[in-house]
Amino acid sequence: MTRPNPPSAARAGLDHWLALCLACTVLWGVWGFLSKLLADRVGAIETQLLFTLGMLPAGLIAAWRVGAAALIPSPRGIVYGLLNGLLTALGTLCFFAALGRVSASIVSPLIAAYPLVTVALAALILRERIRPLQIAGALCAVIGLALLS
Amino acid sequence: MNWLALVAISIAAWGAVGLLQKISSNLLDPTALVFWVIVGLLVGSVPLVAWLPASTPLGLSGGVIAMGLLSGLTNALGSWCLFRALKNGAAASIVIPFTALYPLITVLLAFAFLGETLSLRQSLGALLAIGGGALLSYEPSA
Repeated sequence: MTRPNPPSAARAGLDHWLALCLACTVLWGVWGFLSKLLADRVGAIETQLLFTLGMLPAGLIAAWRVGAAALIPSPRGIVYGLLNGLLTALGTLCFFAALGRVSASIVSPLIAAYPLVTVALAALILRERIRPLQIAGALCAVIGLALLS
Repeated sequence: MNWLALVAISIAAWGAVGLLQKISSNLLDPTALVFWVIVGLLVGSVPLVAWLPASTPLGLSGGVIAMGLLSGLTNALGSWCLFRALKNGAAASIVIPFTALYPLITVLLAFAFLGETLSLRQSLGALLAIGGGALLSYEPSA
């Protein structure tokens, strides 16, 4: 296993990659929980709009940090970026709507299986090879989905 | 709409997002991608205002508004931590599957604060689905 840790990355404390990795996992976990709290109180559309507004500062900071040249790449880059955002929006809207109907401890694990679709599409469209570990993951995910739904 | 159909659409949409990210990784800087994702979210979400009942915007309490904004913020901050970890030398083959375990945190919080419970069969299903998702996200470092 290669772990490309440059000397600058050998940092202690909160800027260490493991701390950041844990922080990401916890923050996304809290996001799922907050989404459930919202979905129990307001509709999916309200949740989606508030969530998007909450994301807005990140978009502005991203724009400020990368500058115009990287922000507006090739037309293809923009189409992919926009499509990415639209599909993310569709996914979150349906996620919030599902959370309004059933418990978070059912919906969140079910949604966690989405890489199943990524791996299948990558194999079909990009002709990527499916690795043994991914086959094991797909089996686990399918059995998990069946047990949960 | 049936909740399972909603979950299926989410899985399909986010699964396709994963593919798009693969295809666009050499076309878009990760930070620029964050910007475009948020533009896409705005484009996709703002028209939904038309479906809001006329009274709703005024009917939202301060607590709900704060919670909603915080949900966007935690999601964005989580993504920032992920990008930063990758920038600080973390191997994507470790970090991406690890962060895919985040629903475990959601489930634990739902157990602790909302009193949710799962049967043995459902618990096994949840662990398999989350673990399977993490394994599926594994890609050896180039």
